[in-house]
Amino acid sequence: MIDYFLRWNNEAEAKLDARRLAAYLGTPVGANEFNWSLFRVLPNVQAWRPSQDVQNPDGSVTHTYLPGWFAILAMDEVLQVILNDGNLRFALDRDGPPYVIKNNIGAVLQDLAVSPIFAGSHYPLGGIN
Amino acid sequence: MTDLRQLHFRFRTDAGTADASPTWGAGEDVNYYPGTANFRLRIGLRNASTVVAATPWELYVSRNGDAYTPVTTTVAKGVQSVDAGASADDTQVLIPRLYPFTTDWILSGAAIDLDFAGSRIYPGASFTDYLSITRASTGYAKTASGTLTSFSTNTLRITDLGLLVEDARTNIVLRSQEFDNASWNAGSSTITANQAVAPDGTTTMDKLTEDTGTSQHIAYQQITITANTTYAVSVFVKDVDRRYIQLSAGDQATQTHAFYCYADLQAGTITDTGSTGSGTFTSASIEAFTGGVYRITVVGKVNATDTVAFFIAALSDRATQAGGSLQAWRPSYTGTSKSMHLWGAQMEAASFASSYIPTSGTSATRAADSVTPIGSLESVIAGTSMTSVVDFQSITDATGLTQTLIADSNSGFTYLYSQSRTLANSYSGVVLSATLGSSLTAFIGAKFGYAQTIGTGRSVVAGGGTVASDAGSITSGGGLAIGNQSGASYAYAYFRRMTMWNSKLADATLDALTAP
Repeated sequence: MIDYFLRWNNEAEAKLDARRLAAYLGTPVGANEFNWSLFRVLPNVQAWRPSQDVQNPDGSVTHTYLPGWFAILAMDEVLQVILNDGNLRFALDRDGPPYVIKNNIGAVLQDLAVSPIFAGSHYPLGGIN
Repeated sequence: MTDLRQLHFRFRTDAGTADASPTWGAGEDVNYYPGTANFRLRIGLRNASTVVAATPWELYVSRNGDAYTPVTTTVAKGVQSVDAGASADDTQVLIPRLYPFTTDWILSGAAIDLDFAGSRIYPGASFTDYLSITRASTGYAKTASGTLTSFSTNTLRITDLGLLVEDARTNIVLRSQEFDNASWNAGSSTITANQAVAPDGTTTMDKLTEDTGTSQHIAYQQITITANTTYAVSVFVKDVDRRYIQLSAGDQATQTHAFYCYADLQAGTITDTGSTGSGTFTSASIEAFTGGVYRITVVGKVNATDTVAFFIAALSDRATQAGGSLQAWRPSYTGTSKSMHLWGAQMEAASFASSYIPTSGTSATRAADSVTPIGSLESVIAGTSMTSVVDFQSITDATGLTQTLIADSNSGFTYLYSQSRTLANSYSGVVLSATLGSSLTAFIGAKFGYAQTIGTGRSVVAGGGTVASDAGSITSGGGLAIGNQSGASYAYAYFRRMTMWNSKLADATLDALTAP
């Protein structure tokens, strides 16, 4: 199973742009809305760099979330149309190694965490575990 | 019925595929540890020294004592080997069972009969001949005996309770079954990892042991929540010698606003519920699992403005709170080194708990079950005349839910759905509803029926109640779905059985078929 991590500037932009990939991501509704296919799309994912975490006096941790609106698309197949999409940040194979199928954000996956993830998609990478 | 008394069944695993020259293993009718590769079962049927004639047989296999699933219905005369599929890991126990094949169970005249709970299929060999599934995550389902079975991605979650269909849910508790992890804190107590068998069969239940101080003896985790949102908080627990637990969620900032329930782990009952401060209690429930384990669930809202909450499992020396003070939220008492087992903590933004979603270092989402009828099942539903009877059991008695059984996303029509626990409806521009039969308790289980001939008329009935009919009908738009409509109104139910006819049955027949 391949997890494709996609990024848009915000949710409204995502709902409009996702129409290009509606065959995978969901169903357009009206002019501005989009029903995500929740059986294989995980919308509104937060991402942060663990190296920027701040430990609070009460024991809690504050994350500095990366700007943008993230979603995960999970498919059985390696899809070139998704891999080559401009909104793809990186793609990981749950059944790896190798785990990294494509990385458009440089060699920083070891310092990246996301939440939530699909149950069963644990990776030995940074905070994506 | 075939007389089984003189027959001799022998099973053994077989690494090869050839049927010639079998070499029987020492074991007969015994358990095997087949390993992770695909394995085959070699089967011979004999009556004394005589090879049994080619009576139709059904071969079923159970793994780790779970429900028996069919391997083949075409066991023939003599010795043969059949593919029995793969095993999840090399610790699983394979238990074969052979039945004489019978069609007695099939409802009269049915074109397709899918008995999910009974692992019986007519006329095909596999449920996947009729249903496709997309779910991008793993998922759990419960068995009748109270175990939890894990299913891989894109796999129908079928146990002897039926086919489970749910929407996506996210568990925001981290390290949900690792209470000894740094994500958790222990107050006036200690946590010891992996001390008892959990409902999934793994020895991963942790032990929470109170100290001898006079204090709150708790395991808790600080969690970021969405303000003004209702959460379902749940955990699997087992009594060791501390009988009562208080499960709660409360705000971190003032530690004043909370909702909670108490449970008795010997009686298996919810003994008290409540809230403090601006917390709102909605509901609580307790569900039995195997091995004396219970899943406790409490639903409520912390406080409208709070964004950080505590998930708290508190040992308690009493069954009820006393007076509603802050102390009653997290009971304080003098410990005597008693303990309880914990596993599977879950907190989800919802009005009821869904199936368990394990987490590790980050929150995890169980994807929605997108179940689609295919092949002949799709054809029968979309046919000119059809009848469907669905026996299903909701996993929740929450009110106000629309729970879809069969729908067409493209046309927007719903063949069968349930709403607010009292109606079974069909929609084709005009809602046609039928009240549940009075003898049923809502959502302990019910059979819903729908029949139509396109352009002529339709009938709907629930639980053997009064049949409702009119001249409407549904023409499929080609977007048929089981358990949801357009990715919404999910069933949150086990479909125990789904039977289809390619004709419109008479109202009296439909009524009888849905009787409890």
